[in-house]
Amino acid sequence: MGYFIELINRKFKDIAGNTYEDIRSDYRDFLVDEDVSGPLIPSRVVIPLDGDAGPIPSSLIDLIRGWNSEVLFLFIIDQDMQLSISRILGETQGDEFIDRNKALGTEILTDVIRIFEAAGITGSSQLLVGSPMTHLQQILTNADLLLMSRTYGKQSGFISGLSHMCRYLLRESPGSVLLY
Amino acid sequence: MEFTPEIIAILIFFVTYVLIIDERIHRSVCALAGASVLIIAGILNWDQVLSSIDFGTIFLLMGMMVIVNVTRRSGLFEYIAIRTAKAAGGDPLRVLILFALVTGLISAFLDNVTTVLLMTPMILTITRLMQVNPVPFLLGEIFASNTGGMATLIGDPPNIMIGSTANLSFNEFIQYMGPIAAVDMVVIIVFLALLYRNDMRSAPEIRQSMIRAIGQLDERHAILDPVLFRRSLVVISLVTVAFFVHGIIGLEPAEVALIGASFLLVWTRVPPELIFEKIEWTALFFFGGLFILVGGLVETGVISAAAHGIVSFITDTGGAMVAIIWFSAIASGIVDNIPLTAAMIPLIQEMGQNPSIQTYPLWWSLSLGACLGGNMTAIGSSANVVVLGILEREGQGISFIEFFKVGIWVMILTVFIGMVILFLMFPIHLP
Repeated sequence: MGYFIELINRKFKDIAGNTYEDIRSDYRDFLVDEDVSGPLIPSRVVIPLDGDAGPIPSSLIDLIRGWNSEVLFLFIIDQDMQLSISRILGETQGDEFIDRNKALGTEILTDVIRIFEAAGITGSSQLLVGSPMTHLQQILTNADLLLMSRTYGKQSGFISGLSHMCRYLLRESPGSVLLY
Repeated sequence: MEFTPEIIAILIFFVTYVLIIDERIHRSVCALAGASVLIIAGILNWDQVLSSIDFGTIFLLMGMMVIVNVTRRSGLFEYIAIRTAKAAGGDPLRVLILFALVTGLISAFLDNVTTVLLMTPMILTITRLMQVNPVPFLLGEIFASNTGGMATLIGDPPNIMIGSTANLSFNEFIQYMGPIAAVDMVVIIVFLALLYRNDMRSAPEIRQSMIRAIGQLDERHAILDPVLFRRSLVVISLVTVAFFVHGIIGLEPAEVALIGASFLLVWTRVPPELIFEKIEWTALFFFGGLFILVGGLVETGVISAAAHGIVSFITDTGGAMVAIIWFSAIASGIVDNIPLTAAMIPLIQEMGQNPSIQTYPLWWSLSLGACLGGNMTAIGSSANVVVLGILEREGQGISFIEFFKVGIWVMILTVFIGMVILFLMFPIHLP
């Protein structure tokens, strides 16, 4: 069986060359597979939050309830920011930055979980310290949908209605992304 | 043991053939290298090399490649595939029938490899949406491609080679092989529908979901260049008509293809370098090398000796037809039908030197066997390899045995029916 598959692949390469890749590329706009043929029902939704993220619209909350998805709320304290503050203003200021953001993160996560529980959705939350981009990319490998405010990560920059963080995650996210 | 020119030619041909089958080295390189060794060994001189190469075949292939490459840029084939998918209406049996028929029809006029490369992605998508086993539909596509290609002079490389050598016209192929191809297509579809009848069902809600999904595709968006689309259709139609009347207008098929290609390039103004770089030069060099290798067998008298040996057993045309049909069918199922046809052509020419054997029916016998024999195994023809290769890339696969279990019956059925029809056309040669 191994020789046969190798033989087929060798012959295919010699006969078809790169033509198949060209044809697949031509078909890309038209090929519909099972992932998009029916409604998208994500089983795991990740929602990153920070002080700049806007409130989640009630219509999206209703949608998530309809999907019956697992929801994970994330608040990630930017460690690079903390290190910069520590370097410039001192360790104490750096520690205060972490404490302030932990308090803010706890408050935001508690509020959002309360809102979702009132809507009948049980979610989980994580408060992390680190690189938001790195953490999100890791977590998103196990998620179907990233639900993100357009102003999330606004501190990193904000152009034409989208934060730099949003732009980056739109490019790099392995799954689907929904912006509100 | 003395290495006579005959033995050298046979050895070089045999080794090259084995290397071509194994394909660890690209087939065109094998063929060219084999031809080079033949020349270095002094088997052929330059004049003999030139006379061995069938430029009619090569230029016909080249012309059709240009036409297909220009037409592909218009999105015509994707348009046809999407229209076919929509027409099937989510019914697996209709998908099997329609795609087999469309594949067979396109294969009759364009090369099989391009046809299956263009149809397979759509078939895979549809079977995923229908949540059915793709194997019967892909087998239908393969068998239809090989069978449809048999119907015309330009549908399959063996026919091009036979037609060029034997001076058979486009109309003669339609007349003799067309009915066989049509009947065999029906046989293939019925056979697959019965064999895979459990896979011809899908739940109504899945069918509706598929119809919705396919219905969202707009085939008009597949047309990348409407002007090119229309002009390609016009030229393909004109070239087809020219093939039908090429004997009357005094043009060889290769001339029709080249004139059609040049007219299309002039009319559409597609940058020629974009088209010429996509010509399958490896295939053309493969053919060139093969012709030289076979030329070596001819010049050294190997073919002549083989023919005399065969004619000592087979003394009439009917017997020769049966022998050629089944030998070429079985052999082309095991090895590629192109090298086989290249070797059989001079053999048939030599056999025809015998006054008790007429070559005309033998050409059709060779076409029947060489084209349909490719259905027998997974490596029997290029179309088979391409579809299976795509399946491997998509993470699925059909094993050699799985293919053979179906292919052997398809081959036996279609070749037998074809043989019966051929003898009905040439009843005087009934054994």
